[in-house]
Amino acid sequence: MWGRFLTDQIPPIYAVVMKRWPNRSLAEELTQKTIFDALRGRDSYDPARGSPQAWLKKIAANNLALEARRRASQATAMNGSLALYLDRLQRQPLPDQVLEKEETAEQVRRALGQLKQKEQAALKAKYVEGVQVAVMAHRWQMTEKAVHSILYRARNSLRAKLKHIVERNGENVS
Amino acid sequence: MNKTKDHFEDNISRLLKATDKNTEPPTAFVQQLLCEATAQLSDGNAEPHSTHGQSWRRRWLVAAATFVIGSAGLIAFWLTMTQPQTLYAQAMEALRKAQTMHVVGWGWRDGVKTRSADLWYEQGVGVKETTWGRKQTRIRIDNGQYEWTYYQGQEYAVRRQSRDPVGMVEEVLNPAKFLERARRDPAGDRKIDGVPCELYVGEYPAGTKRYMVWLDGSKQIRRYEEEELLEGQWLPDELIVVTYEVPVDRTCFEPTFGESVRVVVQEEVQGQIFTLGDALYTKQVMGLVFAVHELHRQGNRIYVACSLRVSKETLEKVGRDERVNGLSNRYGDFQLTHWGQRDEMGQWQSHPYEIDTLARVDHDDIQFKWCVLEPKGTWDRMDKEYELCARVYTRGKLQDWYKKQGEPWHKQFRPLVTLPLPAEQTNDRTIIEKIYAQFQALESVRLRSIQPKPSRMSKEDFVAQIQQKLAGVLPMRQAWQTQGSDVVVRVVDEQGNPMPGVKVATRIMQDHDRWRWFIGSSAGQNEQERFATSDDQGRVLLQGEDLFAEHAAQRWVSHVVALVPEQGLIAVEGVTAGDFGREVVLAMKPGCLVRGRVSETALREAGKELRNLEINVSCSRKNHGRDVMTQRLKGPGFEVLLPVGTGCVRGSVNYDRSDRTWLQEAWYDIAAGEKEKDLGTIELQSR
Repeated sequence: MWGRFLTDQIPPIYAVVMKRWPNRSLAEELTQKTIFDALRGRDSYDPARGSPQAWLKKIAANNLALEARRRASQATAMNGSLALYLDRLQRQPLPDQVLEKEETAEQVRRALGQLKQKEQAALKAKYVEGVQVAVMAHRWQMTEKAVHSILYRARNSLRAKLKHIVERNGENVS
Repeated sequence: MNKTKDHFEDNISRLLKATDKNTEPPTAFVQQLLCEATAQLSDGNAEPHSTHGQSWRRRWLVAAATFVIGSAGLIAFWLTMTQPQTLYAQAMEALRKAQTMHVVGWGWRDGVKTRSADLWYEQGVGVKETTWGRKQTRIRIDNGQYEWTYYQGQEYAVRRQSRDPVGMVEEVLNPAKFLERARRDPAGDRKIDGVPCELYVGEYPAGTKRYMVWLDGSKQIRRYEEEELLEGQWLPDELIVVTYEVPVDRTCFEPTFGESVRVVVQEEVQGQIFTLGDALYTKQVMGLVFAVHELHRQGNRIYVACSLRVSKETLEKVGRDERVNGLSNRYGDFQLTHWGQRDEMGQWQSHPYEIDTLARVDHDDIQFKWCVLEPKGTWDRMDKEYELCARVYTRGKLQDWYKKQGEPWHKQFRPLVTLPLPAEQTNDRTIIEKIYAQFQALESVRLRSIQPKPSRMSKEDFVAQIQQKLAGVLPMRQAWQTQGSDVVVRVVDEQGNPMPGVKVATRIMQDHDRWRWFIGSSAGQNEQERFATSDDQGRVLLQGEDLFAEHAAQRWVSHVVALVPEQGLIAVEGVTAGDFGREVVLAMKPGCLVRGRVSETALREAGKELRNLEINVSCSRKNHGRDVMTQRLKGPGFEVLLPVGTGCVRGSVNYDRSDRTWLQEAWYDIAAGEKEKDLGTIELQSR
């Protein structure tokens, strides 16, 4: 019963987040948080106060409000340009605001398009489609180590291409 | 040592996800989330699974601990410990007072009560933990100076510096969350070992699991019981019984695991195998230290163990590279090559070896390899000395440094050093035994990046794997001598009926509107423009030399290809040394029309004069497998008929009259029944 309920409810929650902040990582995180908040607090659900869907929607709305507050508190300190963060990819998480810009998505798409086909395929499979390395290795008839190796090179190539693209756009990468 | 968290991979993942603006959640995400949610519903673990690093780490801890103790209930409590509450503080205080302790844990597997843990503890002396997982029994002893870990069935135990002389004892008796939530139930008070105990009960999560814990007058935990609600019935799930101030046999803290079990010392193992002090030769190359650790020969075959590591000076110069991401050799790696150079007349002279890596380990910025070198010819003094040649590649920050200086970031050293070969010979078996012992030791001390892994196979399989590699470097002519050098190719249709009159070759070229067929051991060089036609039985006889050079190594694979363009039928099969004297079946099936475009803009912008644009296709899962199809292009588009399976389309172009460059590769995967495929645009780049 729970399985079916969640299967039906995950897509609308995800869609609500994506529409507000077009950021897949954030959408996954908030959807996940909402579902687990609901599971944890399932004993508190009172049918007399509304349908389970409405109850879950309320939890999602709370999480969206929390996220909005978090952003409001950081807004003044945030610059939305990817260029500023490329050299700090090792050290700090990229701000959500940077990820949500269409310009960022476009730059990443262009950089990705310049990688070797195998590297593109590996990055898309692992990070966009969520395919496990073991499955990739099986699919490509390689060892897992070889897949890891491709991914390692691909990540570094992607960063290098991104820097190149950003620099060519006239932005300084500090 | 504090280590800063590396956000690189996480950021790359988020950047890639940023390209996806679809408001539909990805299927993999939904499935994973459902799986996690279902797991929580069934085991009561209330921790959400977040993509953030900290939560991942916690999940890993949960998984590891679950494996160790074979029970999930208490672990959730250990990991969700909050500020000490009064009752909890009292219990912990009591625990600290305990001089000795014996803890026995049971779990229920498929309804059967099974012992899961047995812990002996004596304050200031040590702890011994025996835990029975589903697959392995683990013993950990820690006496405050050293820690020994032994997995039953293994031939060795590992000794390290002490890490946790209290260990699981504290964890087992640390049910903070429980004590926070529990309520007194005097109705269940009872005597345990003659000591009056008070019962505290709780449910966590409510309605799915319940537990009972009995504390004695000193608030020491004496007994813990957990039950799970399954199909309306409360069933036992876990039981822990604790006895205090029991006599402990101190010999249990001694590291005795059986007569045949040897103890390996982590630090020593690493030192023994990688140490530069005992190396036969060391040299600084490109900011890296290359070392030769072992050199053996059997006849003219050479075995060599080498390593490459970053030098101290380089570390000071470029700084520590924190880009770990699973790869250990962050500064450089190497490949052994063979000697060769042009003489005064411009003729290429070489001392060629077939080289294969038998075993390798990448750890802590060191790359260590055992290689075999089988000569592919004869030359003076080949039994006396070995010209060790290598291509050294810098990586990471060191590579960046070379690029910034405008210097090459990889170099070929021909030779790096000429070493005298030992007079005495060493046989294969001795080398294999040596590698096995070394790699077993390295793996035992938790070095992960090892190939092959002795723990994943029996010793016999390990030996067989190395022997297979050794056989693979032997020249093809040896296989021909024992098996014959003929290969019978049988061309059949999808139903297995022979197909007469089909042209078979090793490479087919579509030269604009003309089909050209080639047979030979290597594309473009040792091949002739000809084909063989299948007879009434669908048979074609090929000679060994049609497929391989006689000195080619037996591990190489050649391909035969048959094509009936007008019917859209194609077949490609690999031929190995094992196929000589046998029959290779080419089953003709409808091919898939693979399309794509080639963009050479970047090369034209670079001022290259381009000519003879073509694509080459290898229908092989291996990188850069042999080309079986070539198509010369009139324009940017290509269209080629390919068989089911995985392969790679890459192209080449001649420019500036002599140089040849490669296109980017485009891998394809054609499923059965697939009729058409578009590989998109491939951007040409100069090598």
